Amino acid sequence: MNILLSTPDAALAAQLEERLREAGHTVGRWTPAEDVARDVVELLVIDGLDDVVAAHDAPCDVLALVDEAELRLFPECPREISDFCVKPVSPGEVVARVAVIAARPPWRERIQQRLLAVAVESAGDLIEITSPDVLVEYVNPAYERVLGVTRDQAIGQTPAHLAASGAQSSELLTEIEEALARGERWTGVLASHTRDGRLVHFESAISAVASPKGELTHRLAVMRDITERLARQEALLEANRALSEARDAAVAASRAKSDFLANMSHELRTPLNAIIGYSEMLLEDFAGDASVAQDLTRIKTAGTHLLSLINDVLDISKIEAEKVELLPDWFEVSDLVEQTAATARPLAQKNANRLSVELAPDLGQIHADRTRLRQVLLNLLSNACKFTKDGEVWIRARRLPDGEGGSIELEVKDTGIGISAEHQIKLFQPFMQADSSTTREFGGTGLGLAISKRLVEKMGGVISLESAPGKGTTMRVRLPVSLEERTSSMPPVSLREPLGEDAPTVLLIDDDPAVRDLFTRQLAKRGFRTRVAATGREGLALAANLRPHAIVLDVKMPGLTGWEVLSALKLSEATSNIPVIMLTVMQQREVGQALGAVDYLMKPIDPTLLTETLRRHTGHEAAHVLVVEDDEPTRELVRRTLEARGLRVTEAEHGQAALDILHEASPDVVVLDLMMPVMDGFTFLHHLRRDPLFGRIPVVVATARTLNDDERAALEHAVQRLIEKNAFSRRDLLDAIGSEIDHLVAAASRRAPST
Amino acid sequence: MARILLVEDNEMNRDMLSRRLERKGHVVLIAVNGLQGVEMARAERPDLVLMDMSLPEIDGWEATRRVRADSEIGRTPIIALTAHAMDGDRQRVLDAGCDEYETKPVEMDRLLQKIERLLRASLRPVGGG
Repeated sequence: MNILLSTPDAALAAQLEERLREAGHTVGRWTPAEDVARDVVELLVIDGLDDVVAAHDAPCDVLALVDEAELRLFPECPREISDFCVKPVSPGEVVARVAVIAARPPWRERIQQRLLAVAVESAGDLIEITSPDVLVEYVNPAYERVLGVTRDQAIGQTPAHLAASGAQSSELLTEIEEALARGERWTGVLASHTRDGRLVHFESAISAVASPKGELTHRLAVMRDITERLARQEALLEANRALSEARDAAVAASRAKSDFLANMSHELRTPLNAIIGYSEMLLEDFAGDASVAQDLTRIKTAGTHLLSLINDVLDISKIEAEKVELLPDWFEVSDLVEQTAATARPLAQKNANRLSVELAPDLGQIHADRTRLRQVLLNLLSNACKFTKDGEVWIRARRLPDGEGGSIELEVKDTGIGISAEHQIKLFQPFMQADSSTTREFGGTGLGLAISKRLVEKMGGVISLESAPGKGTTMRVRLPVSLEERTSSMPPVSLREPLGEDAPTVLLIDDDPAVRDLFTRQLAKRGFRTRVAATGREGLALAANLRPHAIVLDVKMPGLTGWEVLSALKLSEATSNIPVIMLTVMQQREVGQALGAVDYLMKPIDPTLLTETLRRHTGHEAAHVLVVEDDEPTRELVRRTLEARGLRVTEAEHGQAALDILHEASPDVVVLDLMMPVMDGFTFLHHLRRDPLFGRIPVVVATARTLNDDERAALEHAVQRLIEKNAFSRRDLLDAIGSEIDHLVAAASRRAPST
Repeated sequence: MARILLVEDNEMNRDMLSRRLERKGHVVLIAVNGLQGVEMARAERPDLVLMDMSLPEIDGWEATRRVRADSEIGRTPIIALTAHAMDGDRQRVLDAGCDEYETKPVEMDRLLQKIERLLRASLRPVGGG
């Protein structure tokens, strides 16, 4: 046999030559065009040469033979192996290119291999290696432990998750096969039965191991037992559900109580009307008879007291039943304080108190419910006057620069009997006067402060007190300058007509109010109904009730995290089929998909991407707009504007072009310019309105032309909206077109479900 | 003094209110339901109507609307009497066409003030023309 030898190492070449000659071969030198050899060849190569020569005569692939031999030694560096090749050049002649062989000595590989083996053996996760025909070749001790089968029992068998447990759907198994066939790693949750019949869940990753030639040689599954974690989550959710039900029941009971009280109070007023009225009449009759008049006064006073009690009970029950609606407006703080002080002055004089009003010069106006704020101040003033004798009562008002727009502090201070720390705690609770003897001595219902506190809080403020027995009392009310009712900051979209019945509902679960607000605005414009939840718990409840078409779920939330919510959604029968899109700030696609998310989006949310993603997963296609406009830059701008709103756009440069593609494009809405070559907008409209299929689709005309009255009248009948370009800046025009289209699309989806 | 039509179904309230108004020198006409109230308003042309809102036959809201819709008596001042003290009641009452309202139990002095004010206001244009 004639062997050509190629290596840059002269000493090695000499050694090789000698060995080969001893073996009875003739040896020559061969220099490859590119010299790839950089390192020392191992002796084992020489050992392998006999095989090489033998293989040459046999009809087999010499290269593969060497690879095979080397693979066993250098499992993780196939590239270097392939650089070392021996190939037959002609019968009886072999070229041995001794190229790069592992720089590391084999013992290091062996140690590393042993370490890897130890790692695999001691891993807490289950590791399973199967042959391409899916029979177990290796399982680690964790596998044995969790599934209750020994390695010997497992080897040669079908893996547990495939054995007739019925825990996996056939779709899931197909999905795994397809992923592996594509050379991808599959991740997801698998279930298996243990030997003793227990169902366990695994967070699993399955990957295919291929030879350097791409043949599937093994499958490697790494599985983590999440059974307990799921059980804990389920238990937690169950507990939460129970708690939330109990809370709902309690709230409902409290409402029922408040409703009852409100009704009762009305019923009680009618007989009281008679008691107070007749005693007053009799008082007029018997004004001269002191003893009768005294008794009548008692009846009347008791009646009046009862009435104020009923009023207060009615008030607090209304507040607790959330039936109090504030009627905020802007008014001068100083006016209110002075008027209230004037009302309270007789009360102050009754106990010989001096009442002073102190107003800061920069008070200005406040946006609040005037009547309710007056009620609060009057209550504080009347308490101060009642519990102070021969003393002083002040009412002060000043503006504090804190918060957005600042706040107003109203202070009522007295030199009266004061309240002990112990009693201060109970003061704001209904029917908790500082002392039960207080009622007898001072009168009142004991509800005033409870009502005041609730009213102040409802107006977005706080009430606090500072007091000590014998040292007087200071009550402070702090209110924001503007009571922004949450309804007034509703997005403008709420002014639009409501969306169609079939508009897909999307639930967003995110703790960030800014994201929730933005999400609602963006999606409402694009034909989605939105619901939002601020916490995972709230989101889970809403998801189960609403069964939205899709859920967008933030990963990072306090309380239940997005992952936990996702697992819970997937575990519950009611919600497991709803596509969930995760919102993350990091690339965490795999975790999401393992837990069952269909997609994920990065924050900050790109509205177009969000819309596309949602449309894809809810099966609701984007509405299609045909833009007919001859000016290319304008057309481009309109297209971009509309696409940014999540709409599909087809362009036509004039009326004839638009008519030609009308049926093919099948638009939902047309944006039309009037002045165009070939066919103008008027002619286009004339033809369009006679088209049996598209004759009724909405048209928005955007024109730079100044229209005469006849033209305007003609258009007003033929189009849904006329936008004259010269009336707008370009930005305004685009916005007008965009919002008009949104409006029409929403209306169209209400009439007929989009396909 | 004035001729006041009291439309009230509750006998005790009717008795008490009418007697107290009469003591102040007013002439009090009585109707016991909404329908009768409208008829009496047409037949008797009172100077002012005190209208309970929860009435049988037709309620005070409807009776008020019918009085207002009548070209002959449409400008008669009406004070609504309501047992409800809910928020927004005042606005609802004014929206229904009443000139004033008073919650029950009636505070007599306040009611008398309101009556007097309304009578003065309604007499002014009539006296002038």
